[in-house]
Amino acid sequence: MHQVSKEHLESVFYYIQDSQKNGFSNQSIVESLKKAGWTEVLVELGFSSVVNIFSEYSQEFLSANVQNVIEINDVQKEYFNGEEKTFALRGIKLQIQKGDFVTIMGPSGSGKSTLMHILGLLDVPSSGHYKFAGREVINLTSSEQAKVRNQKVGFVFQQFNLMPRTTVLDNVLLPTTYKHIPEAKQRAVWIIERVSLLDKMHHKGNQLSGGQIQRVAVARALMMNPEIILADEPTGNLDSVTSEGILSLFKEINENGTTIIMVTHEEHIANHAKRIIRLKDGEIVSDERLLPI
Amino acid sequence: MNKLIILFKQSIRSIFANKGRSMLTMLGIIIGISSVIALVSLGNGVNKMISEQISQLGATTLTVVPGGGFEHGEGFGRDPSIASTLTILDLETLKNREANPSIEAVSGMIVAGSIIKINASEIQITVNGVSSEFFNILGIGINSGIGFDQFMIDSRQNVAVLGLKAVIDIFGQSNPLGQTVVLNKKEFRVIGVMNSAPENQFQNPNEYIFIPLTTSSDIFGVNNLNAIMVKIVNENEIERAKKDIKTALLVNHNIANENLADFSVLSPDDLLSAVKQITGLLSSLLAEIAGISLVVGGIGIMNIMLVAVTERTKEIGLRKAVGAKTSDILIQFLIESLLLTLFGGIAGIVFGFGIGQAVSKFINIEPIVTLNSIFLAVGVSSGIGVIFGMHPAIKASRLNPIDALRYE
Repeated sequence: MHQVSKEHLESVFYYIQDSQKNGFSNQSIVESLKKAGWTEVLVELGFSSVVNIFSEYSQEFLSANVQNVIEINDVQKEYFNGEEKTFALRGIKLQIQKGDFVTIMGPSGSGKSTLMHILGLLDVPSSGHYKFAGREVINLTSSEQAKVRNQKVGFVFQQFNLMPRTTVLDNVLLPTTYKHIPEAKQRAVWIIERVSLLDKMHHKGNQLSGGQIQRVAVARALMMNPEIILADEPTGNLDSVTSEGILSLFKEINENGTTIIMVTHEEHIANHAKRIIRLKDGEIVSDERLLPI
Repeated sequence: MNKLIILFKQSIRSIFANKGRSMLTMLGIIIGISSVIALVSLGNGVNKMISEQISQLGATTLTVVPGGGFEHGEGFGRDPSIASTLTILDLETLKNREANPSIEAVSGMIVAGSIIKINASEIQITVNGVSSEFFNILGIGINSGIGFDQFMIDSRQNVAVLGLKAVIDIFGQSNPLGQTVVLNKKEFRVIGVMNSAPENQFQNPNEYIFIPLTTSSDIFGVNNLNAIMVKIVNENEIERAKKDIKTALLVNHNIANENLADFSVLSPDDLLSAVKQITGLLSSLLAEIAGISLVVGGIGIMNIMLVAVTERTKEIGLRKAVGAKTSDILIQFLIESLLLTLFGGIAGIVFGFGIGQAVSKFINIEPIVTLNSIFLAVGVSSGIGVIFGMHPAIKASRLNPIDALRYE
């Protein structure tokens, strides 16, 4: 029996994906695969074996690579200061694939926060298109947007992440106020364990350190099993050791398949990501990949 | 449903997080509701007591009082300030059995406050000048000794019948019969003691001293009567008797137009409705005052909720970020103001009940809290919560999530 490795299958899929992107028809892609001798290999393996190999190795790879979780085109955001019009974003075009860990960098006033808010459906662009998880979301009503935020997006802010006078557990459960999920409490406890705060579960915000507060925020962001986690300067108020802890938590979450988009202005924080997008004056000035997805 | 339960729990938590402020906020509602409950319960108590007393009078007793208009529900009657228009002549006219076959017995009444001298001390007392039929008409009767007979009345004797409490006030434990009391410098011999009579917050006949009508007319120097009590032969004759009495007295008073009568003939039902009219007027007046305090309380709620919305702007932003819809925020703040007023209302019911009980210790009225007034209090306080909570809740729900998160 042929030994077909994960890498072999990956390269096949990359090939298919790139061909599709470059506008080749499915028929011509199949023709070229035949020429390369791949069809014989796959047929010889048998359909069920292929499926087994895929489910064993490549479940995440498949969904992560075939689909853009975020696709924005020509997004502009303008503000009016009295008569004067100022642009926060000038025609941004950006695709983020499932499973990526992206940082958005830029000096203050570069539009990175505005972009973040638009990505998180907290704000709407003045013009342009935004496809989130394959769905156009620009024209959604405010309650439909709230639903997307609730179920598909997890937020971690720089500050005021926790409800005052509320325990860690109830903070993590907050999103379930607006959408009932079965066995919410068990899930919350499981997530709190993942962020290593099980012993603080019944503590309130004022009994926690800055790093612990951010861990609670991450746990809450994970509660609804979102498509993406948006983190706005999540380490902005933390010392370097604690920051490292939060960043490794993000990495761990990302390795489990959750897309993470993080806004920061600190280079050493940004370097933990797989991809760095730099903004200046409302435009993308560089887009650099550090690690494969 | 699940969402509502969670929001309820969260609202209760935020109310208890600010205990002092929540208490002060509720104070207006507590004062308003407790005064409504106390007033209504005492009003109910007064009504019940008066109804019972009037029904004790018996259905066949008519009372003629000075001043017209009582029986037509014109309130306090015309010219209540002028001196009594009822005379001894009116009494004599009504006593004529042949002219008024529907009347069984008649008693005049002259009521005056006086001072009894007993040894060295003086006792304030209410003196009732009455006819010989008085105790019979009231259906009370004599406990010991004798009542007045026609001879004592006609010969203007200085004799007295005492109420049970008056006996204790004046003579303590010793036997009053045959003893004398000094009233307006005249000596009166005690000939009888009246049976215990029902008392109320307006009068306690057991504290009174009764003397012949004629004698009281002499010692107080009055010829006019405060009232004439009339006993009718049977219930079916009440309307006829009323008409007869009216006709006879109009002739006596030289009044042609019945509507200008300077007296009123009241059946127990008339008395009841006159009293209810007065108590109703009083309690609606007091309820209006209480209503004002509820409105003030409501404004207090609105104020505090507006402050809470400003204080919790970031929380609202955070909630919106994790998926709260506009309507979710609206409902959350409405629940909070509703709970504040509802707690206030419940506390008000408890306090109002307590106030009613406390007041009843002093004025001898049993407060009656009906289920209706509790429902009304709960309904009114929740209504205030929703109405005055609406503006802050709408303000909160319309906050833009980014502005809310960035609020400093």
